[in-house]
Amino acid sequence: MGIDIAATKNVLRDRRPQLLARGNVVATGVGYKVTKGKKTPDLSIVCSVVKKLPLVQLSKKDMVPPTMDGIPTDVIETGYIYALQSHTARYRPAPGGVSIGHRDITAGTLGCWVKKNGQFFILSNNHVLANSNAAQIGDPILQPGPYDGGSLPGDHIANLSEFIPISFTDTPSTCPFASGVAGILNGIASILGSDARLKAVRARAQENLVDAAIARPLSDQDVKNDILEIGALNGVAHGELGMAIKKSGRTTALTTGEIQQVDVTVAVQYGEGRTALFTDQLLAGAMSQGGDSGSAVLENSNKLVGLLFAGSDTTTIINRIENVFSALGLSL
Amino acid sequence: MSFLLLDLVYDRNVPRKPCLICGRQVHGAKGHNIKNGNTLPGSPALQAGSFHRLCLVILLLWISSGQVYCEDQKMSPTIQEVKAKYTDHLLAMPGVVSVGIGRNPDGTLVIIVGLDGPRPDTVRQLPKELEGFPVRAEVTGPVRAQ
Repeated sequence: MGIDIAATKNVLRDRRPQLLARGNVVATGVGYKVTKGKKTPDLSIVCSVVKKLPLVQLSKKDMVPPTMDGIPTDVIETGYIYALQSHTARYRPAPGGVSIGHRDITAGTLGCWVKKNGQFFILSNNHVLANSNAAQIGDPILQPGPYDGGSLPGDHIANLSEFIPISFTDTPSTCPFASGVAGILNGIASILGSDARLKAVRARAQENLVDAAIARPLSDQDVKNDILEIGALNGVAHGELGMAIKKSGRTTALTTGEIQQVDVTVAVQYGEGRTALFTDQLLAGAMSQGGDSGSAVLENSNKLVGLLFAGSDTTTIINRIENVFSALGLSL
Repeated sequence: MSFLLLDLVYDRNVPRKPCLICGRQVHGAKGHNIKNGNTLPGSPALQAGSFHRLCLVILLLWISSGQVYCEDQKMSPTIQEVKAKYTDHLLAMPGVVSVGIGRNPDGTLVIIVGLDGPRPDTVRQLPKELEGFPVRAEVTGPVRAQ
């Protein structure tokens, strides 16, 4: 007690440059000192740091002294402080979490940067980078995506390098020849008194594991190997039931959720009446909307667990990152 | 089980390898027998010296317990196996969009069937459990690529 706020502010104004020059300090302000988790009535100079470290690990010049001109100091851990950033803007270099897309689609999300044969590639979905199987290898990829104003040649960031084709489920056959043959055989069967009938359908499609594609940047100078609002990736992890997860995407930015189901088999609609069946998926609650496809999904310690690609009003569907990496031969 | 027993008792041609328990290089059970020069009648495996006989008994118990464990697993499949077995059947029901494995609030594993909307007929036809695992329906709405 006895320290008045005006005096504290004056001290802080004089000392702020010195405090912010310390390696770990990201913000300074005036607040009540917190001791052993309890707020005390004493005003203090509060220094926000990226990470609280034991004094022995700090060099003398980075230490915050216990008092400054008679005013006590307090140190709290806040991590890095980010400006609320647009996910639909043009970025060079481009981080994960921003708008991207093949020139013929609307927009999706640049998941993260991955490596193949020692080179950087953009990881996102087939339906974002390869227009749901319709693209040609080498097609231009725009950042931001066309819906967010991306156009050729100014926003051309990469070329489609590889995609895992999506296998769509069977639909009634539209082949007139097959239907004709089936009709004739059914006619013969009915004459012979058989109850069995043939129907022409397309062969049942395979189950899919991933909706994934990679694109090679035109220049490695356009690579910003972290994720907007999240930071750098810290390895990969196996997604488990109950795991807390987060993603940074074009439409809903940074959102969090929990893995509610594993080993999920799910029928996903791709528009124009096309449906594809996916197995071994992760399912979380609502944490995405259209345009978030391709987002990297991370657990608490920033380990990559999946690639977001679909969802409903109440769910989000995520490819396991192990399946993505093994399908395309990728690493971080 | 019987195959393993025969292997232990009669096969003298198995390569030399360390006894699982005492670590010495032996030709299976027969090797113990020769080394100890014991000539008791009966099965060669039972003629080993007392320490090696103990080794053999422990080894047999270990093998047989493994066998029982395997049979146990065969009798009660995992929830993953049960889910895989019935997935096609469940997905063919009207309005079913997903089948996955989750947890009930009490922590028990449950097979969760996702529906594209309220589907009272499908919910009525859904089994309450499959081979001992509970089944629950959830309305998720249609799932779309985003």
